[in-house]
Amino acid sequence: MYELPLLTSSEFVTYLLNGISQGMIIFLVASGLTLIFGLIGLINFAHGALVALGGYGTLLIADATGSFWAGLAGAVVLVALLGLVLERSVLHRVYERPLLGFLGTFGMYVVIEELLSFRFGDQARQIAAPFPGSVSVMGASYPKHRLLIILVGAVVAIGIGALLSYTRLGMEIHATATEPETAEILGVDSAHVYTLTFVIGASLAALAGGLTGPVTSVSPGMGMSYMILAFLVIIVGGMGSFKGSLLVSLIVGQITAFGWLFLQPTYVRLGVFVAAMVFILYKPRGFFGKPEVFE
Amino acid sequence: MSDLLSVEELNAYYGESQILFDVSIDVGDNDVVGIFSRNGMGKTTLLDSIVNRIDRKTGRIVYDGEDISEWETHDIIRDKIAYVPEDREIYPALTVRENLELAAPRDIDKATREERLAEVFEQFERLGERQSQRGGTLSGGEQQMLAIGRALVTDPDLLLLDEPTEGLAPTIIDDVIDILEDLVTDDRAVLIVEQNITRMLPLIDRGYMIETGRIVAEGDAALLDDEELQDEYLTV
Repeated sequence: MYELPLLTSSEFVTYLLNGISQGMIIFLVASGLTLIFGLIGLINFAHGALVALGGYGTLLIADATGSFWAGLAGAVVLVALLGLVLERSVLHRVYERPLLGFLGTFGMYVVIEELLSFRFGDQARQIAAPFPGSVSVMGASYPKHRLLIILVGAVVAIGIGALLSYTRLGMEIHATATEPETAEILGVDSAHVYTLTFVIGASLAALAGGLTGPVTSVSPGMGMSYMILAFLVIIVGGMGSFKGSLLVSLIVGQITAFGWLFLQPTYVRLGVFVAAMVFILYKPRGFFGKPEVFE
Repeated sequence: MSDLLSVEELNAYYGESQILFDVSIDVGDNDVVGIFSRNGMGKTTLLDSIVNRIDRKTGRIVYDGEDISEWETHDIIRDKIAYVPEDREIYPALTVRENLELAAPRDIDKATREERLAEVFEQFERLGERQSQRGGTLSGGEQQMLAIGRALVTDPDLLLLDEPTEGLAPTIIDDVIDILEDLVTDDRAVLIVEQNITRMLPLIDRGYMIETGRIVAEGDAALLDDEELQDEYLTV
């Protein structure tokens, strides 16, 4: 007969924190996707490549400067600039053509991944964590870098939530996402809002890639492994719902962490996808999906 | 009186369909001008053309001495033209205050913005009472007030109003007419598009009648107050 594993309190805390940090990694990837999908309606496959570029950018700049933070900041800025170039040169032309957008961003993903693979090889590389070692949390010894991911994820969640709810840009994003023609007659430059949002999304992708580098290592395909979970999160959370993405990321993180107590990781992941499919059958718009609301 | 807005030989299209044919109108400083026709004759297309919100057009739109024909819609609005569309286009999930804040110009400071919002709330007391209420929960009349309020926070030199009484209950129409009476006495030009000429004639200085996309009559309010003319071009 199968016996449920008994956890000590410190083990429980470790699993709980693992779940939160895993959830925050998924959220960091999904948040940029959610912003872009919520506003533009674009399923941006290139997002996964931007995650990998963020990882490699952090790795290279950190190696050159000896500072993880310089690497992360440099990678975020460079990927944001690349996002700006991609959006202004190509993507803004395909917003009203979803199939072209899908193919275009998928093509961008393939090209960027192949270039990374060609330049750096397929072998995964590790980024040195800025805060190595562990710290005691409620009796559990826990890696400092994973706590950093939780902290950054929380700051991003609060920051983006505040941006959307309390700033003029947030209102303009809502207005443009809901009805761009009306936004224009209120003096909102909708093309500018699209560009800015895409750049913010690209920055979040780079942040995710750079931050996860010390935990999961950096490889050309690192973005796609998160993208699959991120797509699941934005569908179940409700397309375009920021708080839905956060909630479902944390749920998936916890299921993944505690699921490993009972099942092999492959089965846990399979279970997550089956549960998500069943959920979507009963609630097609996900937790917070509304046709006209960007939350 | 100098012309604030000149529409010159405007031809406008939606897709392959031509809606307006060589339409020319003028609106002077502080002028109140009406455009009247039956439904589907091109009134809204004329306003949409002025703010460059249509597929294709030829001709010129000159505003305050500048050709704005090719300007982006948001640039036209930022140049102190405000547009109140026929179906109001309120953001239902934003509050009354947020709808107004969104419309307020970016280049004014916070104190000026608050001052303008306070003026709107003073003029439309019901909006003031419902500042935190979502736009989608307002009645039709209140939504029209919000749409007009949204235009007024920009302190426009030219106000474009598309069928402000359309779809409103008769008692609410009286309220809206009262609001319009206040608006037309202010120091700004107003271009009103309406079917309801009887209620609008007392408000306007001049007007035009449109039939199938062409100007068929123009003149002052007294000239347009002609039963025969109205029967020919406005009666359904």
